[in-house]
Amino acid sequence: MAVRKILVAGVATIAVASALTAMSAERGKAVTPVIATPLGITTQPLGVAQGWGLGKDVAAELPRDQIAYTDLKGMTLYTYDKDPAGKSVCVDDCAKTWLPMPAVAGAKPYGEWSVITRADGSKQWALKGKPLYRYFEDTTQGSVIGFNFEYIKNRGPLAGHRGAYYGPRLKAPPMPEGWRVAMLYPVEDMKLPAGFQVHEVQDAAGIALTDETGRTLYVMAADAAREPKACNGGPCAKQWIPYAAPSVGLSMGDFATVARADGVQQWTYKGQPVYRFAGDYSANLAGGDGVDPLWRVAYVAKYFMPAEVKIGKTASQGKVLTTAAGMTLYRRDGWLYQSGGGHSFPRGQAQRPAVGRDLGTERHCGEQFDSMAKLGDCNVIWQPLLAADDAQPSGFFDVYTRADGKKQWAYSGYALWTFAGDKKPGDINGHDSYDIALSEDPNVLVNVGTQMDGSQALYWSIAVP
Amino acid sequence: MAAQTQSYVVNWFAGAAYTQDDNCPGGINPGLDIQFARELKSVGMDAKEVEKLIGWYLSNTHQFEVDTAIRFRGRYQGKPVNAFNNPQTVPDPKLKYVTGKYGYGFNLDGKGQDDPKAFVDPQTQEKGIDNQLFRAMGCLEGFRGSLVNHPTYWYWIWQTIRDSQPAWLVTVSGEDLKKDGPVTITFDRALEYMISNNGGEARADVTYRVDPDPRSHNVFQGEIKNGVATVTEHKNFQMLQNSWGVPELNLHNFHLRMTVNPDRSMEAIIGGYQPWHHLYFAFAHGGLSREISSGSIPGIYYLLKQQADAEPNPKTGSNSAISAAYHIKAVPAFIATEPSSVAGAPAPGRSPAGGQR
Repeated sequence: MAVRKILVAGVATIAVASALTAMSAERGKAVTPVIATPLGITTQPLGVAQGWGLGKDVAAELPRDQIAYTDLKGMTLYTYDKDPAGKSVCVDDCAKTWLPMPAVAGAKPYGEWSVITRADGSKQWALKGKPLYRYFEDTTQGSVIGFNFEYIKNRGPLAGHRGAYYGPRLKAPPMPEGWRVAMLYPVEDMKLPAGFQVHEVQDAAGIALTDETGRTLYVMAADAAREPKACNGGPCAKQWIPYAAPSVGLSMGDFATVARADGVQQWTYKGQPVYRFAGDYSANLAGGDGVDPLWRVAYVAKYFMPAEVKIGKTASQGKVLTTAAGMTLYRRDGWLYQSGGGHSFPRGQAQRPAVGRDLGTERHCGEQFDSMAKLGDCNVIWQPLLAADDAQPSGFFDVYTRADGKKQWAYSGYALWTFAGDKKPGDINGHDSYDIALSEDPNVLVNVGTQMDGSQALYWSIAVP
Repeated sequence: MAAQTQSYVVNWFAGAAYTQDDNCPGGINPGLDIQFARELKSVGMDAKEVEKLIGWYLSNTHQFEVDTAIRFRGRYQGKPVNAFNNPQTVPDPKLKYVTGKYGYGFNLDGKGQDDPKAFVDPQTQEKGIDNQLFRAMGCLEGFRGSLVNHPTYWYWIWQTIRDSQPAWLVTVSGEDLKKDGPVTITFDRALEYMISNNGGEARADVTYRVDPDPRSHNVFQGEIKNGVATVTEHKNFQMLQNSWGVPELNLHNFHLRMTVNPDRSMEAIIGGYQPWHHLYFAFAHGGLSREISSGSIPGIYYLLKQQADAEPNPKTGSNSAISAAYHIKAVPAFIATEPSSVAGAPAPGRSPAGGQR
């Protein structure tokens, strides 16, 4: 896709550590940096991963290989090569096209986030010293310099049935010289030995080391460099597969090798032995996370999570966002027509932040199917995950204001909910439950709150990280 | 605990159709081009304009114009609206429905032969059979078929569904399943997907785990009599299904009759009253794509609404449910009592059994 080419060319090499705060200084444990954005700034996937499409053929995972820093409305942020550190040279007409990203009162610099003072005295956010801007024609989430192919294709006036687009051939405009999207991901400035990659691992809500096929890598706590006795031929050894280095291993930065007792030369990362988890059958999974406290995901950085949200595990759908008490969190979503089914796939249907924003904090209750109707009114059995009055958006988490003035956490555009039918952690008894809307009165139209091109329905889905 | 238990995994699920050459008055409903033309004219489009659009439709040209005209053939206060979202805004195209004598199913309302709208079941010869879903849909080409050759619509739907949803399980328990007597019949959903053989059908004697989700757990008391198992308590039935069809199969006043074939496979007819809005959702949720495989979506809306025969809405008085019957084919399976005892391999692309699905 043209947009992608532009972005790849324009990606600012980012140091993940730029936006990080130390998570743990516990002795013997590596510090996992957390990606938390400052006041007024969030993160958003670009392009197709915004999920504007409403009628795809298959339930493919939306690729999140481009994640940008954005303002609170999800509008992409940019940097300008000609800006010297700590100063903006984009003024007058330039500043009408590239709108300085204001730092609101009370904004506090930290890490590599700083606040600069512009010539007119106003305050502007800067990342690694580079002032941040929005583009004046960006009006939809995922847009880059005013262009959003997915939006035009699926919601524009020439959009047809199931993603058919009848307009002229679209070509993304070139990125103006010197301007770059302020990217969180991909990470491009890490030096990696052959066999290592860095990928977003959504199951682990972060960016982690992976093997050459994209499967998540894990490290074992440094003070347990030898596997526990259970691993000597036991089930543990079948779960945790040492990540073998070439017989002549090369040390590089944080990467080194260690000779195991069984003769295998094993990679280490920051002094900790590296493993794969046998249960991860594809990329983007982190099934080994939480299985044993000795092993943890080989994070490069973790995404911000509010104190009210954790990651839990289900028996049938993998990782899920949960409350602090471990109860499954859900999102409200629009029905999506998919030839391959898809709603029963691991991780459920691909997220579409655009649909989540359409629905906001409304349940849009319709006609329930029997299993839900017998539990009670839709407005009662689904309860919002409330946020503190002073909660602030950060990373992929947003804070929506409800009609009653209360705050509700949202993730990737979707407001978060709990379900009264779940009795214990791991239950997903509300997952994949639908309600439909149909009017029999020709003078009454139905509208479920987001665009549909068939009969109208919404459904509740587990909120996956 | 029952002395004998036999479980099955569902291999086929389809509307129970009994198509005969003469069961639709004057033949079946016309092709979509004719249905579209009628409906476009009925909302006030000029005849020449309709002729031009249908010409484009048949020659697969001017797709934007055709797509837009067909999708937005509803009218609300004189303005075009999406006909799939709001089928009530299209005038009733008055599609034909089955008027023949025979149809599979059950005497759900107890009226027997006194019911003038009822069918005679071709298997049991029982009169008073309520299957208004077959009556409504049976003159649309994609819904015509038999228990041997299922309707095209159901080949398309079920073959997609069974590969993209956890398997359905049926268990029969009793003192001696070879003799007449009381039995318990249980419907569950598995955690695993149906395991196929090299012919694409369900592999026999595979082990599945039961999903503890209460939304897909049904227990009915029944009996075996003359080799046929039936349920004797007619509670409501609920089972999650991939939303490619109906997201949750709800059958009120559930009925069942089941036989076991010499090759150990099981067949059953299940039936009950089904909320017709659920069915409309299933037939219409793909919009234009579904219309091409099913028939005029607004036409189906009116067929279901008019043939619905139960559960009147207290506010409007119109019936909210329609009698229906479905055909099930299944093969023997095992149900694991412990996750670690699962013998079946996971379907390709799925996670290993015993771990994540």
